[in-house]
Amino acid sequence: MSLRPLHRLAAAKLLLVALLLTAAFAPAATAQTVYLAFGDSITFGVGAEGPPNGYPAELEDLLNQRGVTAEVVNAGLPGETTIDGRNRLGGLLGGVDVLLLMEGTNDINSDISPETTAFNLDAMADSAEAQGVEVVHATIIPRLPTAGKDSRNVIGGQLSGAIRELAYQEGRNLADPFYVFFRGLDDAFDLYYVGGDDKFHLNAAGYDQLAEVFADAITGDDEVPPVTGLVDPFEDQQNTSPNAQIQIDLYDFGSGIDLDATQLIVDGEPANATTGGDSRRQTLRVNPPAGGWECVVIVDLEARDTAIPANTRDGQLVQFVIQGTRFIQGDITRDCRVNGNDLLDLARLFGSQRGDGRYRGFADINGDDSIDGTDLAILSSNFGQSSK
Amino acid sequence: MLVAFTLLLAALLPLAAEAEILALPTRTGDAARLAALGQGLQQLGEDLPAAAELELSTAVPLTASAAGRETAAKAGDAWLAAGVETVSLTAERGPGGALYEPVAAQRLALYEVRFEEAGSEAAGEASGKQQADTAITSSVHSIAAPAVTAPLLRSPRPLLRDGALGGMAWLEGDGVRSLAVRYAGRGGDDSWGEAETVAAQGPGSQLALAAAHLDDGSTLLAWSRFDGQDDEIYWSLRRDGAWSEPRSLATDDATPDVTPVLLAVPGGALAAWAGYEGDGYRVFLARWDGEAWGEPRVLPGPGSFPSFEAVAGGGPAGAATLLYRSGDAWRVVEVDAAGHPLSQARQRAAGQARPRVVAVDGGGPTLGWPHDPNRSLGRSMLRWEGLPDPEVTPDSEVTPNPEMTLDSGNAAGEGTP
Repeated sequence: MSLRPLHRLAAAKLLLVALLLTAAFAPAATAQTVYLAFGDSITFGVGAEGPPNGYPAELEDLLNQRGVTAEVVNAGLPGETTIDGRNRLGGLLGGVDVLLLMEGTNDINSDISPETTAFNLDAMADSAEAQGVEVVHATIIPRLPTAGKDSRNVIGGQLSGAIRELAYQEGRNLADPFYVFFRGLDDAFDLYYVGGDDKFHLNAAGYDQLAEVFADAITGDDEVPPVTGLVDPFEDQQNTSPNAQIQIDLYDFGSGIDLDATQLIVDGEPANATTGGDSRRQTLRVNPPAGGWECVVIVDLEARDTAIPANTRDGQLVQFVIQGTRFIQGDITRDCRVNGNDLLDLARLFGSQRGDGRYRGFADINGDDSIDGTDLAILSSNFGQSSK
Repeated sequence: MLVAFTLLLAALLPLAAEAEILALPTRTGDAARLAALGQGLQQLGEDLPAAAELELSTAVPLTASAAGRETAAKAGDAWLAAGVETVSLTAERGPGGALYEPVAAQRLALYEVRFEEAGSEAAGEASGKQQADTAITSSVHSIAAPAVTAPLLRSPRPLLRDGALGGMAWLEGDGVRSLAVRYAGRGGDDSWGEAETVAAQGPGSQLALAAAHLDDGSTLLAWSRFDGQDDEIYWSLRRDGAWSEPRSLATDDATPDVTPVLLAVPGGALAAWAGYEGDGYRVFLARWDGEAWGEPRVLPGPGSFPSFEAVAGGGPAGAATLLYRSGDAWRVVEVDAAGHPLSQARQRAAGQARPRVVAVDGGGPTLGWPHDPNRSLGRSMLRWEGLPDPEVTPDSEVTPNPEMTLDSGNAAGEGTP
């Protein structure tokens, strides 16, 4: 059937009116936000079995469930450092609204300092912002104790602190998986991929958790208590001056720090700390006691934010060793005393040999690859002694 | 086990004050051995089968992985590998309650590693593989290393003199952010001289130590050092028993310079590193002529993690090849002893595994790829091409930079071996 020209014109007018009415009364379409997940193998998803790999796909689902119409593009490249990342990012920013920037793990393996890593991350963020792209920084994933390098996460912790400072200084958003995986989860060990040589990749459940961390940061769900930046003296620092001042920088990228409910505990006693800063960043300082620090100093942190309910963090923050300290054999816990705590650790590992799953070198006091009666004899010989 | 523990405890506690105090335990890490294995595996590159498995003297089966910036040096027909052995004494909790073993004490360790092939073509044929499952066995034995008392040690670098171990440089300090650069020479009687401080603990990181023994008998070190604002390449030269004052190799431009490598060449040395310029990282190359550094050159394309891969006449006219990652490719640049770039070749990077230059001839370099779970070890033969990038101008003379000369009157050495 064909219409005459006049009728075609009338039909076209009717169609136009109908379209205008539809547009006027239909709910406004939500604009899609394009997120570029940029990083290394952890963004790529090494360790997850089967598609979808990595956190970006899960993050896209989470954001859409939370009402954010999102497309999350996976731009992870295994093995990449921030040096190569700086060289690669430029060509990927077209059409991107938000850059999710999590890189630096491989810098630790490559003898690149946290300062240079932070410089590179800032340079990447600057180049993105110059193109109108919003930036969300992210700390790195902590390593398992069996990692070949930085197994105690000393450098990883410093790098994460530098990334927090960068995000604070530049007024950028931050996702903090380092805190969440290191201190915020009871079952974090089950979220790691342990089938390969590397010891810092996640499994599928771990990547889902990582996606939650990013989703919370993007949607403003505050699930993280105050976190640290500069910690001086740093973790496991040896030969520390007895007159060293303790300085801790605290950040909160959510509701802010509840300073009245935050304190440092030094060697078990609440410390009289001076404070300064704002609700997103506070510096706490503790002067040494008269006569100076002795032996090993253990600093605990009790911190709260102003979220309802508050996110809390209680526990050991840093431990450092004062100049001239000598440890007594059998002081397994390294608290300058040989006491029941050392005995408990030895009992827990007693009977194990190198190669056993239970064996731990720190309790093999005489180094004969067996945690046995000889080690117990050494500990017993010094039981009750103190080097303080 | 608990019963035995309790009985022992009950028996031993009364004897507490009488028990003998034993020496601190020591632990032998496998890192240094692995470094040698990785290097040795690469050295064997051309003949290596697809699935070579190495077996250490400790009977731990290993499959070599990608070569990194490990510390191992070829000495005659053996490899010298340097590492750090650790003693762990305490426990802490990490992610998910995982148990950590903090380092309580460390020491330098040196190993001599020799490789031997004991392969069987028949075994390969029987298994239906195209290549033989040649077994490569290694023997490892320990060599005395300099005695060090610092709580934290990193980056030991053995130095070869006339093909034999002549010294060792390393980083040491109270923590990863307070490392000093140290050195000890090794005498003809295989004894170590007193450790010397090349650079005291800085205001932050001192990392990525590189070392080379030069033809004129001097020793050159370079490393990246945080100067309070950013990382710079610092260097120091040991001549006549004293170290020169550490100085920045490149003009301080408030942008990072990192990951240096050194190579001794006739009449001096070459240094390369990754430096930030403009909107990304490039590879810089500078020549030490025995008295001064020449002006650093920028090599083609974006670049990171340079390494000198072949030396002394490998190419038609070159003294060395420099391999680095350049965007989505691996780039090989051949340079002469004066540091002039002569030719380049490129190989698109199929993955993150780092290749090595295993052979160079007039046609081009051959890259050897390490075995990893996703790809077999293999080779890529590349062809030399020109140097189209305008920033590389192979001029004929090195221009000394007056700011980067050796000031022999300002020695900082603390002793002689």
